[in-house]
Amino acid sequence: MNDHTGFDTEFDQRSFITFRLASVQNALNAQAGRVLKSHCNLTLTEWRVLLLIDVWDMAQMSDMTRLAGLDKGQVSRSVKSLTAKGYVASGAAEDDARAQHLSVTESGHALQRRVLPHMLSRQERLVRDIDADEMRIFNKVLDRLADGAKLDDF
Amino acid sequence: MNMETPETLNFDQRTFITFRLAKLQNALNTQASKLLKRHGNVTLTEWRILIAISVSDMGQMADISRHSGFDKGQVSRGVKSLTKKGLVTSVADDEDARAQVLHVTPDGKAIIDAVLPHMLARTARIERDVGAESMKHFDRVLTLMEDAAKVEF
Repeated sequence: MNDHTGFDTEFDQRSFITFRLASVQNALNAQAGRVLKSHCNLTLTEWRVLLLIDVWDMAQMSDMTRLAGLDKGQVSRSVKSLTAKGYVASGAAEDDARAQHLSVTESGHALQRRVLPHMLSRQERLVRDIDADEMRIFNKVLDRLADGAKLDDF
Repeated sequence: MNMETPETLNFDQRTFITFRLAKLQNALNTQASKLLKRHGNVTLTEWRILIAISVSDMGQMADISRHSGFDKGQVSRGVKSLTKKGLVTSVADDEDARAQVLHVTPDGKAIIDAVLPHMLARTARIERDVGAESMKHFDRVLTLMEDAAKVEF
């Protein structure tokens, strides 16, 4: 046993809820990445950004970082790449010429129509074995954890 | 996310559960990164690998990968930067000279000792707020999702 660290060697970070979440998250992201790879040329973040612009009508990058919790750098790189691939167009906002207004192009819409059914059937499969009560508790816990994640005094 | 706040997105909770998870994960990672910056000057990936090395029996890659939840590539990059920072050192295995065994250096141990109490306090606080019974349900659902994440589409 590599026991020169001074603390209880029984300590196992795998029992942490934060660690469990990160592992499941890793597996889910890898799966979503595989689905996307076999149906289009988008990364998972690009796909999410595309949906945010379209489904949730987010025309500005600041909305995506604030409301969807995405990292600023990630959003900016994804928008750049989506624009280069021709799925997203960017113009000036009507009420503020300095602000960027993002919209999904026709080819972006076509891509969504093509890929979304695959992503949705994956989502359906993910929640298939979870009953409504459990899902309710799960969502409640997610809320609590999100509150806990805001604490900054450790 | 509090669904009653008008500022938030109107998610279909069943369909976009992965989106909620991803958002939560980002927030937790930011929180942990701040804590680590404050107390230890290591990144979250480095921290998980450092801990994994300190508790793994033989200090070998497969072990560290299992304990940290990272794949081989991530572990190998993390080990590299931890070595550069002088927090981890590798020595040849006594029984197999080709194999490397990783150890935490005294500096690495000092970081663990400085950071761990804060990490434990954070986790205890979060888990206490959730409650043991809810946590059990939550964990069961996570396991179901983990299994479903293995299915190919």
